[in-house]
Amino acid sequence: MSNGVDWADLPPELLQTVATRLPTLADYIRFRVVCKNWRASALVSRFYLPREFPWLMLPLSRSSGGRRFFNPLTKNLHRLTLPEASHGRRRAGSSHGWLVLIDESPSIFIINPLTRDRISLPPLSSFPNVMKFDFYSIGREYTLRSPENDLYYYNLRQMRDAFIKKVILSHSPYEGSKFIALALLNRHENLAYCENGHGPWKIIDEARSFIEDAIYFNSSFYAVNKFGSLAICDLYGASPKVKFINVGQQIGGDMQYLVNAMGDLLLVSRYLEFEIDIEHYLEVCKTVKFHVLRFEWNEQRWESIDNLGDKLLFLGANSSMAQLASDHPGCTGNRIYFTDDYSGANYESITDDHDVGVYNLEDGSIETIPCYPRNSHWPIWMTPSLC
Amino acid sequence: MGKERRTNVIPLPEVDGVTLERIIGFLKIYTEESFQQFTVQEKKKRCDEFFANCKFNDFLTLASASNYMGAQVVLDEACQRTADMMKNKSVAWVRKNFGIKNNFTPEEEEAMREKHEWAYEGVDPDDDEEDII
Repeated sequence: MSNGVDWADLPPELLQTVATRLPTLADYIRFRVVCKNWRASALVSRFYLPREFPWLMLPLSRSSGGRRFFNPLTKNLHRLTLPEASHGRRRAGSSHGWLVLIDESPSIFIINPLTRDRISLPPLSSFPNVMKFDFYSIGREYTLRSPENDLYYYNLRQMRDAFIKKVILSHSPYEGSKFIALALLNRHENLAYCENGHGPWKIIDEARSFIEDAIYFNSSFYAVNKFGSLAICDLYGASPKVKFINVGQQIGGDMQYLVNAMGDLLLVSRYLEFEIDIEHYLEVCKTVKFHVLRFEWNEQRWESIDNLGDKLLFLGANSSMAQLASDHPGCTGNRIYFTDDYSGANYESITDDHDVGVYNLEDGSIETIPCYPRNSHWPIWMTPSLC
Repeated sequence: MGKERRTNVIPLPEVDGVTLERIIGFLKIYTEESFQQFTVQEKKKRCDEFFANCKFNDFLTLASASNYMGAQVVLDEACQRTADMMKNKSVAWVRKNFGIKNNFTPEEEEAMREKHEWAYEGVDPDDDEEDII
């Protein structure tokens, strides 16, 4: 080197400053393999890692090895080795960088696709309304009890696909303190939770019917019902404490999502359109628009907003989340990135393309994101995290 | 830089004259009141102009010297540009162009690469048209 300064031997804080300014996680990971000093200087910590745009986990493909993840901003396709997310496993949630996986056995676990760390959650058979699980009762392996005390049966597939609507986490298990998993249950519209993966699942009786969506916000779980009313659950004590905000206002749309958008509590209504494709005898369903409302704490009601400004929302089977476009060079705000999370428990889905795309609030236009192949492994948003 | 001057000369053994002049030149522009009135684009344009004549190695010296002198603004700019150069480059490319010797054993390197195999795919091809140093 002409002026005698040695890149390998630079002070750690200087190297850390360079590393933090790298645009992607992959750049940062490669930086740490260049030499020992660089590796020691660039820390694996949330504070220093570059902010990566959320990835779209693509459907399982028979051709390539591994699972493919698509970054809609950089247009990069990443192949990860993830046999745990194999064909028979359903993603029942994606929260803080962890996927929630269920299969036809009673086991439920969460896994970080980048580190492949996994943590078990209490099994399906440990929900209070599951009276019995018998692997040998073919076709009726699970015996369940309704709130009206009727007994009914689910087979392995129904239990995997229809019992749980979504699971969200309070925070990443990497963040040290005990995490809480909250499950939204379909059939009887219950909320259930467990702490730190320890069973059994406990049902929050007071919050029945608040299963449109739920998020972790200000140390509580906020759950919303079809009418936009909220159940606020504090799950940190011996028993749940639930408060309600009854909104009593007209909420439209076919599905509702709750989002913590940098401190604003948002309700997003999704409008679907059904069409009959006579030629192929298919019912085609797709998203036509979103309507965003913000909770006004003073008035205790939802107010429409027509512009998200710098914010981006990510909705679907994942824990609803928001990002700032300004954190991602080349990105424009005021958009909603969405996936199909309504085709329901019917894995034999026969509809058209996956309903995955980006909704632009400026003009209401939708740009679809093509996802191949078209099969039962619906795409889901995932925030890649190393720690 | 010291607030009080006891003598007329402040020795800065880690920084050569040319680099020092450059840093001072940049700081002068940056701290002028009028500079703060500029929009982000205008500021970027002026920074780009100033750094346009810097060759790759100059960034290195600038960054190093700024660190020593505590000129945060120059440091940030130099580090950003250095990071921009490394974007999407392979590990081999970075080692070659930054003149770094790989001090990992083959086993250590293999273990690290296996941990996040995906991060090594899709990088720019290593053959460069020109020497950037």
